[in-house]
Amino acid sequence: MQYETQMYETQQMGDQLMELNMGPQHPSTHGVLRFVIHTDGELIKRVEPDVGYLHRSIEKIGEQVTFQGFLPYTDRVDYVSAMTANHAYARAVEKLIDCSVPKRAQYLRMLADELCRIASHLIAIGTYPMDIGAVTPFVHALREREKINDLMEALCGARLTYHYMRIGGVGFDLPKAFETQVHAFLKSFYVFLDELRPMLQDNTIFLKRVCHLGAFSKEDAIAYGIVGPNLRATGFDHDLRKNAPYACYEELDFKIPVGMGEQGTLGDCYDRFDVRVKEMRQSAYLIEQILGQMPEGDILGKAPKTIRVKDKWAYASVESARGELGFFVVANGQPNAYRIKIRSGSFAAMSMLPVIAKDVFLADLVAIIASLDLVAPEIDR
Amino acid sequence: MSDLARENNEWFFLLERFPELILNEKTCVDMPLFICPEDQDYNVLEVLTFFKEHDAYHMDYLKFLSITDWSDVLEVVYHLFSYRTQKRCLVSKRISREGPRLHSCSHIWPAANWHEREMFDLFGVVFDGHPDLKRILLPDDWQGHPLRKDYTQNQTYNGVSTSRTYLTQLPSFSEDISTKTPLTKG
Repeated sequence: MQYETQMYETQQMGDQLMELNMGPQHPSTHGVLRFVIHTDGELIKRVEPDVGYLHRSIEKIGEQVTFQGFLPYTDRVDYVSAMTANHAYARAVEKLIDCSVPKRAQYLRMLADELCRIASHLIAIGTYPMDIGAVTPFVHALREREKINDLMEALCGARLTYHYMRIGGVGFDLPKAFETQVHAFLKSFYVFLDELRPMLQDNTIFLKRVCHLGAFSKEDAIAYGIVGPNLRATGFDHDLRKNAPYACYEELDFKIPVGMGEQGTLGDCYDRFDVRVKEMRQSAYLIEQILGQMPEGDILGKAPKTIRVKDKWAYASVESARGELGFFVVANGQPNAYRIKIRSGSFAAMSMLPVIAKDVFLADLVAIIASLDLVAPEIDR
Repeated sequence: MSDLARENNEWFFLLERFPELILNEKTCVDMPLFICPEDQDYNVLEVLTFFKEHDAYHMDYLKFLSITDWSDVLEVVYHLFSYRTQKRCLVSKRISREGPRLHSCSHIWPAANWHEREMFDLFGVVFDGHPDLKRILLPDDWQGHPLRKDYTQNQTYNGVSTSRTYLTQLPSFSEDISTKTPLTKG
């Protein structure tokens, strides 16, 4: 609205900045996003993200439905990595009602989380080269993701919005021959990971596009509340699975990959890409361990049918594919929550974009946006 | 307080500097909650600055800002975390529902910039000193602040209906569906 009037004034020749509109429908914005870009020639002087096109008022819906009834909506908060959103909300309610989760359910949750993390990173890894002009890796990545979708369908009957977790456990036990299928997937997945290096990380054209681009320091990242792989790419090893272990992550052995500035500046687009590739390999190791150590037992703990908690708040978060995803739930004795607040990683990353994308070329903006792995529904909720 | 108390109470420095804060460990599970006095002129910014700058706390990460509408008052909650000391806490301040104002903390944590815009958008709280306070999730010409408990949606937005008329004919959950006439599209 206010931009329209400015647009006509600045579209003249002169020493003013030119105002460009990008989006809301744009192939590289990963959802519906709009940017207002002020350029001086090819250089971006200022970029203003305009978010909210995917606002579905999920927080308001959470005040209208019961605690259990809100679980399917959490899938829609971040539909690229829906399991982790399920997990975070289930943990928050379990904290409220002080409900313990059986060990087998915890392992099933971790299994689902890690599969979902790989699926989400495959989207990030696949679409990143496509946004900057290489289409082949996208097809390879989506081929692997398709196998995870099949596994998820076998596990819970849905391919994208799972609603697999319940308050106190998970909905379904492992289907028949699931472990064999996962091992078969992992076998082909390792081949894919090995192929990725010559395809992208040793590719001079790719490196020239992403190295030294969009770097920010660890201090800036913390000040802006950046979390997840974007934070770890700056060389800071903070991962909720290690630093504040939930489920049974402390029983498993895995490393946290951090950015090392291998090909350029520390914390640049290459580091963010590289951290995700390494994280996928760690997730694959985790899945092997989880399947090997899977205990027997119940999959659903004892949770009351109608949850009524008097004047209690709880905050729980998990390490989603885009970093800390947290749910803050306020209960006041009713079977529905009084207030739900969702803290998402993409929202923080998006708020930092005007700082990162300053004095860069217009064509590099797309590379920066894609490297942050922004998912629009998670920003807008 | 004695030295022993100083060692045992991790919030000693804070409560020494701001004795008026109430420490509540019951309300929020696993997390201490500091409640600021309800006095309208009380400057919550000093507490937040102290949290950020004191070496014992060093809260460098503002996780989020949340507001709860308690029908008579709005409760603003800051969620703070420190990467260095691994401490975390909530700071709450109750403000009036009519013409709510607070000082912006976006100069302490740049992350607060967008969180405050979101709270302005959804609750109508004005943050003084904010660099660019405008709506973020909703369109600029939206009426009202939807997450308030007394919010009622306008029937139309720019001439477009915001509800589907035939949905209003649905029987409510409490009524017996079988006695209702079949659903017709209106």
